[in-house]
Amino acid sequence: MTHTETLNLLDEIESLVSDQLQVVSYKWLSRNFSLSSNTAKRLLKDFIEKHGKGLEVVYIVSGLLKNGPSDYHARLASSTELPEVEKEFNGKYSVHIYSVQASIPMDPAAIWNTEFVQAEELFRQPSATDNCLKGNSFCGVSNSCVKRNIEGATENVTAPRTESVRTTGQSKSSSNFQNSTVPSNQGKNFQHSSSNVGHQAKSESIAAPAKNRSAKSSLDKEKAFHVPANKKNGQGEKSVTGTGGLLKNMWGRVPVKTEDDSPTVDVKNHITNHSEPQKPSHDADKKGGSDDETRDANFMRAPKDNRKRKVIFDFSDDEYEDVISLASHSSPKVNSRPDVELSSEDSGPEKPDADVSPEIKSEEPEASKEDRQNTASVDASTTLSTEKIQAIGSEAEVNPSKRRTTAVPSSPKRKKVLKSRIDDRGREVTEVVWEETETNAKKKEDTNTSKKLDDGKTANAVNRAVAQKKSPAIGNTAATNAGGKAGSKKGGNVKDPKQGNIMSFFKKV
Amino acid sequence: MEIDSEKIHERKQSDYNSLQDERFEIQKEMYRGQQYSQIYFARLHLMRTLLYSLAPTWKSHLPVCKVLGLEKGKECIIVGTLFKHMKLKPCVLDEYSKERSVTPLVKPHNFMHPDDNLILEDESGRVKLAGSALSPAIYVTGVVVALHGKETNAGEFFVEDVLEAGLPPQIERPIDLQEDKYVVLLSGLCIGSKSANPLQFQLLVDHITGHLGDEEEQGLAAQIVHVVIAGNSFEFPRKLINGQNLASKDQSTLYEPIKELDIMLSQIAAGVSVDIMPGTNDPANFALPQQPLNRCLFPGSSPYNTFRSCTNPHSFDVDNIRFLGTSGQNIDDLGKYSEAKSKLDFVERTLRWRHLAPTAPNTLGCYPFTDRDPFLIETCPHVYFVGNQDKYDNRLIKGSEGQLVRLICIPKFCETGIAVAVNLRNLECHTLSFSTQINQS
Repeated sequence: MTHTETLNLLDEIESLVSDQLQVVSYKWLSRNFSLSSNTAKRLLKDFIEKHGKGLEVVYIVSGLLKNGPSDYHARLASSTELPEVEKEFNGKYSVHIYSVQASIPMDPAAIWNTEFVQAEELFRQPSATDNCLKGNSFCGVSNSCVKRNIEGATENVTAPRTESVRTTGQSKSSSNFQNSTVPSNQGKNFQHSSSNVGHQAKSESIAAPAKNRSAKSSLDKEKAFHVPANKKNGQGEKSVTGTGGLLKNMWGRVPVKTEDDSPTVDVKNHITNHSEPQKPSHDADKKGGSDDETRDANFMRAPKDNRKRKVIFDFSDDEYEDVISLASHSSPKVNSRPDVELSSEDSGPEKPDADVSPEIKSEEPEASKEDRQNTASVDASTTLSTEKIQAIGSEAEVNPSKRRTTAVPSSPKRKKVLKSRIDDRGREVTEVVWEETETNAKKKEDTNTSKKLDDGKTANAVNRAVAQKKSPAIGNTAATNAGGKAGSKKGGNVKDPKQGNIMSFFKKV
Repeated sequence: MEIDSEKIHERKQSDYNSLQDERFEIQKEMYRGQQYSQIYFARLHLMRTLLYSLAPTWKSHLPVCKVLGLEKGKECIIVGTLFKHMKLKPCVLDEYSKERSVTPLVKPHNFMHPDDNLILEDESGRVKLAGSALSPAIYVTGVVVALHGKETNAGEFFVEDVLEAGLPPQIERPIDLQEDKYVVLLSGLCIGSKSANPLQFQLLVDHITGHLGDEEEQGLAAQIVHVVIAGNSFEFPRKLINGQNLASKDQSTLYEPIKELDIMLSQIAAGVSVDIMPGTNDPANFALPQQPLNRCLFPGSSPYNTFRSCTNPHSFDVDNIRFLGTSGQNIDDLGKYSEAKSKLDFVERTLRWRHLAPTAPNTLGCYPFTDRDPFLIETCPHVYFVGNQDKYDNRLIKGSEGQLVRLICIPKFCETGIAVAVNLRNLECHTLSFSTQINQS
């Protein structure tokens, strides 16, 4: 460090202590100006000699105590009590400045605050970036065996970073201090049989293609590696981090999901609008991630995972969009949908039967709507009903296109007809029934003896069966459908003469 | 300004493994509604085999029999589990008789009473013990011993002599360690409590990582090869943990200590291998063996390969020196139900009984194992430590077969500022103490 640099630093310290009333501890100084701790201590000593007037100094005295010959003790002391404190120590003890401040606070722990705030800042930096906190730099002891696993890539936390001038000195001294046991032990390192090893091994194997860091890698290199490492290891990282990754994925998904739940008229448009703006924002997050200091290290994983999640979600969105669009085509009513909200809530992005449930549900409300409005749109309704029953029959994934093709041929055979008659109990019943052009309906009518309320018994019965099947799934809408579909379906000759039609309660003409 | 070459010391390395911790993990255990009798049975079974093998060397002329096989006046040896009947022992139902309060109802003081008596129990039956050879003040429920005596007319078993299992066999300590290597043990950081002094902990971290002191001291710090934090690293305000939902400002009260500890731990982990064990106040399960603190609590420290979250009790080897230790629950419980001159007596007793926590599951929470008792000490450790004690203490004990064990009581760091360093070469230990008291006269 040149003389001018030293002077500059001393001036800076002066302004910090006197003007900003900050506590400048040696560690804070070393981390702030990238000096080794020992250099920082010397710097503070120089500072006190030159500018020390009116400032308080806290020393730290450490060593072996007189009355505890092998016990190490370290304590803080103010400059006034320093001589007394030193007497307590035995033999060789070390004294150096711990901190310089305008005045010593009442609670000594307040001296720690500034340093801790700095440590927090360094801690909050994304985990991929190495800094003096994470690399344990600027201290007097180096440990080359410490490795830090950064999202799938391992990085050696190596020798403390000192100024470039000192590198030669450092390498010399470190070789001096290499004991005979050290090289032999470095191969073994810390053997630990727990899952950590497995974790490490996985991450190391993923990192193999990435890089092998040498001792002095610049921060620029790290930043450049940061993004590709994330991208490359994004997929692998998920498997490595296991439950941690999954948990974060869950959290990453929640905001997306809730936004989708808000009911809108056109669900399809809503989803596309929603997903698009999210993508670029996440891209921006990713690129700016390394510079973003407000995010904690662990949250750095979220954008990556969100992006991956986004991909999956988009697929289901596409399917969903398909579903919605098909359903909307099949029905002339576009403005129906209070119940589509129900369907959108139920279909999660990754359910394999997502396409089945919304489709069924979306058709049901339409059918009920039609019933209530009593329209004569025969084709559409018959289409729907046939589709519905076929869907129930298959009870598996239903191909929408298939449905429509099978439904179409059967449509022209039905007619909705108003019929009125008197049943056994003497009640006059007027019904809207489906009358088939074939003679089946009449035949079934003859066989009916009890208080049946409509003509298309079979269809009704089938519909009731349908309704019964569907009622656990849907609830109210099924009941309304049953009556509406009276006589619509040719199916089995299932008759249930004893059961009345529930729609009789609703219709009085 | 001259540029002098700074000495950077290279930290010493050691072999580390914690294979024995597997028996303290309960992931593979399945709870099928079993009761605690099975763990007692496993304990009795293993210990009895052991005691039967020791009995001939102890008193070879006496027959060994079961409790039901006792005959009046016949001298014999019986082996079983001790049960101490205590008048003042709190009953679990007391908790429900009074209102639920936030502070635990049972105050940790001693429940001993002069009327306490001991009973020996095995699968066949129980017999009340009489005689002065067996002092109820020393023994607790759950210890398996062999007793020499005879049945009296009153139906009691008059004890003449007691055989404890004694120290288990020990693996030879490597004698060829040339250099001093230290393992630092500390406990009771209590981060988050009002009495914790963060500056004190920071001084300790600075010393361990080699920031503090002059170069010679940093050389001493380079000899530290491992750090163990034995429990009670957190202390959350009790009033927040009452089952109610937390307001967001309260949530930060819970989260801040965890973050602080994570930052400090990451500073340590960046330099040296560190183990953290859960304690009574930590966010881990209650029953022993406590499972490791979840790694998501330490997002900054977990990436380091030097950071390990361990069970309580924790057993590990450093350079083939075996360490065994707990966060203090076992000794504290012994302190409630028996007496001794110093805590080290309790520690020594558990070692001689070959059981880490004899009062589990009677008064100490414990997982109902079905086929084993993980607290049985099978091989003798070289260093046996207990955390969260009131003051620092250590003792070297010798076993009958040449075992040498260093017993250490680690004091609470938040109260005393003392951590313990053990020298692997000769099992000597000394303290590392830190004080932040500044007097301005």
